[in-house]
Amino acid sequence: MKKEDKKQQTEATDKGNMAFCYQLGMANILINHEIEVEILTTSITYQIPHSPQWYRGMTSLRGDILPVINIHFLLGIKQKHNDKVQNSNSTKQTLLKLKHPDFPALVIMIDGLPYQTDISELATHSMTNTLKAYPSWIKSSAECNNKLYLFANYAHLFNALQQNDQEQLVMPIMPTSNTEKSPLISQSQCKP
Amino acid sequence: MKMKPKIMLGSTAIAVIAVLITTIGITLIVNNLVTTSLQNEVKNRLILQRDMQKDRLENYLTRINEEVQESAALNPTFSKALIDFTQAFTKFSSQLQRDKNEKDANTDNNNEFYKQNLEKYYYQQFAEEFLKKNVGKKPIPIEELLAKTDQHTLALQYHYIVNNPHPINTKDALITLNNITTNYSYTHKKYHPLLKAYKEKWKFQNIFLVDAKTGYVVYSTEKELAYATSLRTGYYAKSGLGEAFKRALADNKQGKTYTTKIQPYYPSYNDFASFVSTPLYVNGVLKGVFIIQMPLDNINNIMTFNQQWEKYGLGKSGETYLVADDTSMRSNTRALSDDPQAYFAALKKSGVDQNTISSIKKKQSSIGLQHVKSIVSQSALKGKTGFDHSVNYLDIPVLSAYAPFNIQGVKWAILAETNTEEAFQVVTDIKQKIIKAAFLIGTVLIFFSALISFLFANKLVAPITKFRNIIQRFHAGEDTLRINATNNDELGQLATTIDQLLDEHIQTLHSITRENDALNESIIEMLYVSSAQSKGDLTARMIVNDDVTGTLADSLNLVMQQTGKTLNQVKATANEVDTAAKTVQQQSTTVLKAAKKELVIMTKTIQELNLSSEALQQIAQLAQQCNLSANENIITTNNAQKSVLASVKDMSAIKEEMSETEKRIKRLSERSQEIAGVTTIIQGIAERTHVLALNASMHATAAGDAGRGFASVATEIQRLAENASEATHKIDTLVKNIQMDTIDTIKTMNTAITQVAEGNKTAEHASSQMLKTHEKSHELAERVQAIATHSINQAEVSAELQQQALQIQQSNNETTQQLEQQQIQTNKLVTFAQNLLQSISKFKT
Repeated sequence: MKKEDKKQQTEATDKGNMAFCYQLGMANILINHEIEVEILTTSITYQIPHSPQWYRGMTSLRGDILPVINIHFLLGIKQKHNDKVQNSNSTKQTLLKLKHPDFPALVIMIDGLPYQTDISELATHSMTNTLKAYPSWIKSSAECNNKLYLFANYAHLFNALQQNDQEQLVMPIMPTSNTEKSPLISQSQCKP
Repeated sequence: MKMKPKIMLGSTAIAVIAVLITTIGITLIVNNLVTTSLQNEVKNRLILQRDMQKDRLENYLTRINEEVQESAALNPTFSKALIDFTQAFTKFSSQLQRDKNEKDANTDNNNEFYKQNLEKYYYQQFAEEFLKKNVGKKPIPIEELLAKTDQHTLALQYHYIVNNPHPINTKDALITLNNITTNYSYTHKKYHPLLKAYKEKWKFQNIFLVDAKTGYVVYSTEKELAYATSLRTGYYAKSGLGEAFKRALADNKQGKTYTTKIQPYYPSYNDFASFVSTPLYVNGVLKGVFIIQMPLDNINNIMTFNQQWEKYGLGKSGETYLVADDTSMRSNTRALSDDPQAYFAALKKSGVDQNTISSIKKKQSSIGLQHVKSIVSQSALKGKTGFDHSVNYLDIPVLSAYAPFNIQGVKWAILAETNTEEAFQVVTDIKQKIIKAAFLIGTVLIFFSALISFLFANKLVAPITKFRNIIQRFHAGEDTLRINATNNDELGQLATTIDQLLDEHIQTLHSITRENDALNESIIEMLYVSSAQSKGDLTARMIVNDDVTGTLADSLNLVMQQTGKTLNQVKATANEVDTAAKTVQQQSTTVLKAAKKELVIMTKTIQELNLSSEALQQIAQLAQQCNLSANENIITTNNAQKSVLASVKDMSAIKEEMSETEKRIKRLSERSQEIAGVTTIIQGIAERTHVLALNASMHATAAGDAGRGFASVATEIQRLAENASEATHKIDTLVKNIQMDTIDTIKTMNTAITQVAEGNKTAEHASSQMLKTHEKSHELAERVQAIATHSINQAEVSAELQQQALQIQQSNNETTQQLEQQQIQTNKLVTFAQNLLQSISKFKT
């Protein structure tokens, strides 16, 4: 990040317009203030056989066992290969613990570390709720500086996970294979 | 020039020179002694006056500060007055409204009414007084002054300044307000007479009581424009008064005083003012500040000795004065009191602007207006103490004793000066008196000297003139004239000697005349006989007389007789010589021819010997050169062999050094790999710190406003982690570059070591070849040396032969020359013999 961006970020933080977001492929998912977040870098994900496809496995955090959700699968995004470290039956990569006040905590795997962004700028861009290409827990999106930002309703997501509601969790149109691109990958198709 | 004027002029000149030397010498000695003595006296006096004034001023300022300190700390009247005035101050305007006795209360309460009246007072009374004292300056617009005033200031200034029935500059005469019964007016009535008496006792210019909290000047004896204004927010917050207030509060130490710089103070019509302040405590709590406006007239009176300079030994031009760090005077100049017109003219001449001069005239004061930029004042302001010759503020040469004056926060220079002309007036007077006395004595001496010279010259020259006249007349023909001196001194003896000389001269002249006549007759006779003898008649004889010519004639007759006999013998001999000379001439011709032939042969022989000798010498030289070359070759070969051996040794050392260096570089490479390991650890720490900071930052964001401060800390930690990461990345890159360079260096060094080993072998081979060359060169040198020795011997033999041949040739040449000379002489001899015969035949014997 350039120094100028950092300066702007500091100013925006002082004004209270900053929000954290994490990257999944080309998309940047914003984190609501109500969500308690923690980055896990040393945790190992242990895969569980015969589990659903969106369920990546289990991990341990300070003695608590937390589920690891394959959010890439939920959004139909191809995971970055270089971040994956194969270690027999477990993987070691950047994990993000999400804790909603009304739901138990869960962990997702993200591409790179979270960062702060000025959401006041996003507010000036056009936003839409008619995102038929995304799962229903993605409420809106915005494009700013050639970046796609997605606004997620985490209560919706947590609820759907608890209910194992496939229709709510995953995209309406799933890619047939890993080589097939998700609509989110192409920026040109995702302008709000 | 004649002797008499010479004697007169010489004597007079000696007298004049003696008088001049004596006068100049005495004048210089006296001048030097008196000047040194006077300068020391003036120096001591000025230093004494400077130090005395410094002490007086220090005592005075210390006394004021102590008084202010004691008044504030020990006198409860001030603290009580401050409390009462402060409490009454803010109630004044509101109590006015409630006071039914006050006339037209509604109008009074109107701020606009106060402002209008203040404006009127300001422009009609204050500005008039201000312009009198400040030529060329304009008063500050009233709007600026009123911009920071509130209702308390306006009400109090109106009632105690504008509505004060006493004229300007005497507003302190008001004790109570008529028909107004506020707490403030009651307090003022209670305390004002006491505070005014206190002020007059100490001759302070003004006394202020200032509330610490609001900065309001709740009381002032003089009721100037700063009265009732706030020294925190009001217009005078930045004035000297405001500075005194702030400094007293800044340290907040009970019993401590602060003195401000002397600077223009607007409420006192821009007159210079200094304030002394001290905090006022009531029951240990800071309540306000007690400030007095220092009486600068007293400082001026101290420095000017109450204008009684002569009484205190400062003469007609001496003075002591103060200079502030802005180079302006802080006490009056003496010139302004003694002769104002001359002072103003001097100011104008020195380039001071007319407004400043007018201000000095109006204020009758040079304080703050007259600038002093002399070297001595600058030195004193820099903290130096001393005494020196200088020029003062009017460009007049002065003797100056200077010193810094630092007390109670004041930074001045104190100077005691007197005009150089006055200081050394005694020297000038003494010098003039000496010159006058010397002139008179000199004139009398010269007159008498001239008179004595005239009489002496007359007496000396008169006999000499007589001698000259008698000798001139004797020369003209008066043979009998004599001096006939009667006195027996040197001139009388000279006259007797001259008379004797004249007598002897006359006698000598008569004797010479007689002898000349006799001699002439004898010589004429001898000339007749000589004439006959010259014609060949050797039988003629001279008459022998008794005089000097008799002996001569007898001798000449005898000579003639002997000459006749000799000539007969010569005639016979000449005939024989003629015959013999002819015979010798024939033999000489024959011998000369033989000698010339021999000379030609000898010359040819020498040439051949010469060629032979040169050839041998060349051979010898060549042999010697060969020998030298061979020796040089041996030395060069030796040196080369040594160099090669040294090279072999050096190359071995280089090889060992390079091997050692290679090992060290390898160790360096290992160390850099260790650094890479450490940087990996640091990178890991940085990444983990970064994640930790991100977590913290996200938690802080989730905490909302409560976590904002922590978010900033987290962001900073995040940046630090990023910086650490960047730094470790750079170090990693550098380490990799070092490792690559190290590998390249090791390769290069291995190649170099191999090349050094090969070079070593080549050098050893060259060394053995050089040893053989050295042996061969030595043999060659010995053989060439033998050739050279033989050639040199041959050349020496040849040179000896050549030398001998040359000697023979030289002998032949000399013989030939002698023979040729002999032939010439023989020819001449024949000729002379014939001429002799012819000559002798002419004489009759």
